[in-house]
Amino acid sequence: MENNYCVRTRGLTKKYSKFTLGALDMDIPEGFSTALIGANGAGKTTLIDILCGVTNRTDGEVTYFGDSRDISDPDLRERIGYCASSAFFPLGFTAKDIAVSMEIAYKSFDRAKFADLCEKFEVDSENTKKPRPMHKQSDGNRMRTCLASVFARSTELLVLDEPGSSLDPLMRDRLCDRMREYLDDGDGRKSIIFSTHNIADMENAADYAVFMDKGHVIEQGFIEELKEKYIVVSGDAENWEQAKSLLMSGSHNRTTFDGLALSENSEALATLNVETAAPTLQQLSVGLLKYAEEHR
Amino acid sequence: MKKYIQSFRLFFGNCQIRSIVLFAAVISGLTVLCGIIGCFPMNEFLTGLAEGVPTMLSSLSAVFGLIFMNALYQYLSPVTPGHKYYASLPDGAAHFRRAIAAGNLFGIVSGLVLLALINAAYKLIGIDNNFVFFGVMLLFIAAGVCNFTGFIRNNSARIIVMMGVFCGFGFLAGFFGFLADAEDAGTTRLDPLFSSAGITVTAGLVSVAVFAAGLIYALMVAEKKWGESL
Repeated sequence: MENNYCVRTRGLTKKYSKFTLGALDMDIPEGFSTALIGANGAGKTTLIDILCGVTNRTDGEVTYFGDSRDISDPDLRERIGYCASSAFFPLGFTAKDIAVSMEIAYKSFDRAKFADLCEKFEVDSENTKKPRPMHKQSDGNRMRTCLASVFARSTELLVLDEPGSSLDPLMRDRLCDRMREYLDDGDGRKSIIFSTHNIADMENAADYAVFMDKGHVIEQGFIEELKEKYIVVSGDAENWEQAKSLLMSGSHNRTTFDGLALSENSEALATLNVETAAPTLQQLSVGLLKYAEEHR
Repeated sequence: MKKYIQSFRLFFGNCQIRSIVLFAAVISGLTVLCGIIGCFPMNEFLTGLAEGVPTMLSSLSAVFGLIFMNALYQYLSPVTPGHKYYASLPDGAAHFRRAIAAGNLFGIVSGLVLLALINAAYKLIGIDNNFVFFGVMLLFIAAGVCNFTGFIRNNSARIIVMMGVFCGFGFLAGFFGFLADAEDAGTTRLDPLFSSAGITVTAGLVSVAVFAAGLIYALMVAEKKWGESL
């Protein structure tokens, strides 16, 4: 599959005193939604912050949309919509303050659309009689306001840090729909990068996945291709010892076992009287992260 | 000028400005009330109130503008809510620099307006207005110091340095008055400090110089420090 890339990193590194991200080599395809998946502390937020220019990188290179490399360029920032996981806006800000501030900051910010989206997301808009400041709203409502503000701009790339974590299941489902609409509107030119722990709920919104562990990328690819590359295996506990060597990761109890394996091992596994199936993104994530944890 | 106001609004939105205007209105209202009470003395309690409250308000007016400036500098810290929003904006560093300039202007102008009002109240009440000049000096020095200390990363360290400078300033004022043994002459301790036009002008110029130096320093390093905070 021939792709353009919305973001390409080479040797991207960020060093903190107790944590190092990278060096990361990543190719995030244009026109798709990419999920960053990893345990807490894997480096997802750091990566997102670097991509959005909120944190400076220590080393390496990031290329946006094939040619732009300088995130301090205001034109490039106009093309990127960013939403942090918590306390994105000042806590004293109301929807009206956000509208005022974003209208000044971004040429493409549509104030009427923001008010409309706030109403669709069922949070205070600037048309609300007495809009509440952020510190008087729940985490979920803050995130909804934040998402409304980012969808009210005309962008080519959305970078969302844990957009679903504080939302209820119904709202997460609506967010997935909204993300799909965003991609469809772009005619293959718009892309989304988001991090998530709610893998099952957000699976519908993801086309491409990047799995991270302790600051490194352990696997990346289109989800459909990854589902062909790996299989989930389940069987009786009596076959566990024989199957174990063919599995990447797995667990067992007194009666059954299950785990993740490479598809290339399916023939060998078939001789063990076990069942195999294509993994869900949730199974794939757990299997790969377990594998990474065991092989650090 | 519009750009500067826009950058200021970008950082403070509408509601924050409204609450500060409300705060200024309360100070103004209290001052006017004290002036009226002073004009029609009824009893000692009310006269004391009319004389004492504006004295307290003059110091408060002097540091009034710091509310904005301190809040603005706090956005340099990654732990401040809103930091990521501002850090992700196009031209964030330029907006920050312009907001510093506008914040200083707003702080000085609003402080001077309030102090002028308090001065008028003092005149109505008929008490000496040296505290107003003291307030003007404090206003400029406070703004200047805030600009110098704004880039100190540690919040506590920044506040301690500012408090130290203000305390030193108050100590000097008291010390000069004490040296002159002012109370024996039946005047307030600040009187000797302002009895000479030369001393008054010099003190005024020094405070304006501290403010100017602080502002120039802040505008020169603002964009660099913004980049370093990321």
